[in-house]
Amino acid sequence: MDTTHSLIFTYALRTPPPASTQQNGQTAANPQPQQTLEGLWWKQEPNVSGFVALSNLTSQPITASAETLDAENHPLGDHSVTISPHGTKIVELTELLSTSATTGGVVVSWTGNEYDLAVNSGLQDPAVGYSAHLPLATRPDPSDKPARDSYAELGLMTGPSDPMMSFPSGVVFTPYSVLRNISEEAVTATPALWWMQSGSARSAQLPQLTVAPHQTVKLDVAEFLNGAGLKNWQGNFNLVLNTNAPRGALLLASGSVDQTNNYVFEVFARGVGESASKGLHYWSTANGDDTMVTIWNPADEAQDFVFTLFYTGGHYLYPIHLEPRATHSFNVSEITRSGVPDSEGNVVPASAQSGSAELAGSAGENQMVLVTEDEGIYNVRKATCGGVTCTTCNGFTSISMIADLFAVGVGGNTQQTLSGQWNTGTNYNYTNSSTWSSSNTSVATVNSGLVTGVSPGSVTVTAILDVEIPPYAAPCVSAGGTPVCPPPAYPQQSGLGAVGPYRVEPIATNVQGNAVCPAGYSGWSRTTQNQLQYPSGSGVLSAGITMADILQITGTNQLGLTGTQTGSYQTDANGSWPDTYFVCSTACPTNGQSDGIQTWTYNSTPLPHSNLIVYQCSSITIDGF
Amino acid sequence: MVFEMRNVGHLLWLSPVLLAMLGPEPALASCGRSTGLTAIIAEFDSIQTSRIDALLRFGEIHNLCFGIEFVDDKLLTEPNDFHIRNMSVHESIKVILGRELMLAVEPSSGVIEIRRLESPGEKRTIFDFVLPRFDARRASVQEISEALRMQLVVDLNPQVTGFAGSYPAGDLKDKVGPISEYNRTIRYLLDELVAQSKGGAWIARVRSKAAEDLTVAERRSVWTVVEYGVPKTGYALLLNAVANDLGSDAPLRTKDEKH
Repeated sequence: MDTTHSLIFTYALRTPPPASTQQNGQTAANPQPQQTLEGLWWKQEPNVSGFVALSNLTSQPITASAETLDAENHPLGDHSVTISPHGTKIVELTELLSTSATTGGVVVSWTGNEYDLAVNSGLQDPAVGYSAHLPLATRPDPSDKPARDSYAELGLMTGPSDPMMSFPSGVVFTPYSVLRNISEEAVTATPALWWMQSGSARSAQLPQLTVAPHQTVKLDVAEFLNGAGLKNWQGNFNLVLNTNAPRGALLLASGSVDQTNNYVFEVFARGVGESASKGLHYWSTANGDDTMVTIWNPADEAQDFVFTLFYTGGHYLYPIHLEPRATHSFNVSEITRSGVPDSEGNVVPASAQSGSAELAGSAGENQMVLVTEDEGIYNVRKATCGGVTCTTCNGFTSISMIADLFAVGVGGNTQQTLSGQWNTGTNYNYTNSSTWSSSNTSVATVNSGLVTGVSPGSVTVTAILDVEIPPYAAPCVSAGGTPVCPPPAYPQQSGLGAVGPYRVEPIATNVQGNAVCPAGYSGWSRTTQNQLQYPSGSGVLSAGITMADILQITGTNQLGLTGTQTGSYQTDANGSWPDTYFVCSTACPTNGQSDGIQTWTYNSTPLPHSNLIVYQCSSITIDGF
Repeated sequence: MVFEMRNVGHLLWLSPVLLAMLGPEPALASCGRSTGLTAIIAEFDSIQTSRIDALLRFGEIHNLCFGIEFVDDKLLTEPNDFHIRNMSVHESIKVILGRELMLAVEPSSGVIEIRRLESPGEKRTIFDFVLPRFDARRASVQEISEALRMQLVVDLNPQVTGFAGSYPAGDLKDKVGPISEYNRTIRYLLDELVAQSKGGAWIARVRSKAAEDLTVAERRSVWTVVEYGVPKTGYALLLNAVANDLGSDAPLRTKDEKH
């Protein structure tokens, strides 16, 4: 942030390249791929120039190029730079100052892996305090088919500023919207305007436009407003683009700029689609900041939402009712300063000046809703607005059964629970909202997660959710794309189980002491009476069962043990047999430990439970026994 | 590696003396205590058992211990009926194992060794490997067997720093040793182990061809020691496990197959 010139550029942190790729130089046998990002520039006024910042995240030098193009894809300038390991170079796109073109594209390319280079870019005119992000994105795969999607640019301002926002008097905003097709196919986009008038949602459909491959188009928003009868409209409106294009084909940039080009209120297009709750990473009302939030209900039916402000030490619930297609805009300061208790009696303390937020359906964060929201932190005093606006699409991060390796005796039962872990930390129980099935009902049946053993054998129990829930995603607009929450799905999970004997456990120690070891080695020997047991812990009182084991050293191995041992045993009438565990090591008799895992089969059927054997120079334990 | 020429017939007669010198307790002499190879067996029956299973039952009844160096799947698992009447021990063994196999049946160190008849140029196997030294205090049969396996592995690969695992405990009261031997073959030491036991046999867990590769002993057990009467449910399971081990040996090409 350059407050002197009221410039602000913020970018998200990047995941570093995987370590395995950092040292890999290009070889004849291992040619590195070509990476290309395509961007969109426009000139709000004649003195706007641009830059591309290239940060090398690897330990090898990278040579990159940045080429600027006009709206019809004619070259304007070409820059080639070599970025030293872990260095950054900023390429000034000075040709934008001299060209008569007002819009165009940027192509950044390098040889290497996708994550080797962090590329950030911007447009600026320090003389007047103009700054905006220059969006860049990866071109879509040429094989991607066109899809019908909608993108909403929410809260575009036109006319004199809203007094609620405390801009200096006389500030008048003009909206802009620019788009570029970065695919190899022509795409279509049909704009529509949505605004609120007298408490009701109004709309105007605009003519469809076709954008050629690598063409940039600056929409004539003023003409759109005229056509919609909003020539002298003062306030906010939404520009919705209904597109028929491969996902990621359109780069969008929009916002509102005042007549001095100092106040730039960028709006990031959001994908319109069903989702669960959404998380807003950051809000601020500190040091003259405020956070403007715009929420649009694209659905044909009214919806109720709860906007929850989280701050250190508490939260505040702000209910929002939106009629079909209605929009609601508010500043977070309106909530924090209201002093009105929420439904739980919470009042935001004066000390709470920043935090995060969540927009959810009134039924909870896992309720599927159709809502689009945008937010921006602005500071009238510093004349800055913007920042990385990351919104998480809340959803499940994992689906799990309480025991995906279970065991049950014949005639016995065990309750399985299906749960979903959400990114918000909440764990939801989906046991009763899932369809359960058994891979072999002659071995085990399952009803609402209750597994009943029928006959000895292995079985897989599967649960499929009856309700759609979305996977978690954290699309960030700073990368230049248009974030769309991933569609919900019916997740499923399976658990492997066994009906019959479950495990082998020692029930007595027959003898133990120093092991007989080769010269130079010493160790321990322990003979235990092992027993085949049901899940309940009772013994399988049957003679003549063939027990076979595999014992592997794994994990901790301070004693330098090697090898895998197998053995076979036969149960007596008590379902038991003597088993001698031993360890001999050159590291003994000093301290040390090695761990082994002993897995078993009974009459060739695997047992679900494995034993942990801990070998030490003067002790051996089996499952802690 | 070091091999000892196999000419141990004279030890047959010395062995009672040697064994008596091995430990504080006299060798139990369960093996051959009352039965020689020429003794006549009046009656022995075994129904639907494998040949090796029948041989173990035969030995258990008549106080004979075995070192069975040659095994195959059929010997270990294929069920047969056996009816011995008025036949010498030597002939009985031949009948039980099948005459067509041309097996050598030779007493050695109080144990009857069973292996293929030697042919000129035959390669030495892991059982011919000579341990420079093997010491073990008095312990159970299975514990000494495991100690012998570890000593073999250490001599084959001195880089090995440790062993661990588990094995069937066997009869904890069937103790042998202490043993202190120099320059003895694995075969000799196994014979000695079995001869000192209450009665039993050692059985190769590796095919003859595979046993020519000494490194096999670093990968897995190459013998098992059977104690008569352990387990009480019989030997079939144990012999099936041995047969499974044989299946893990990659078949080696014969000379004729090499080009």
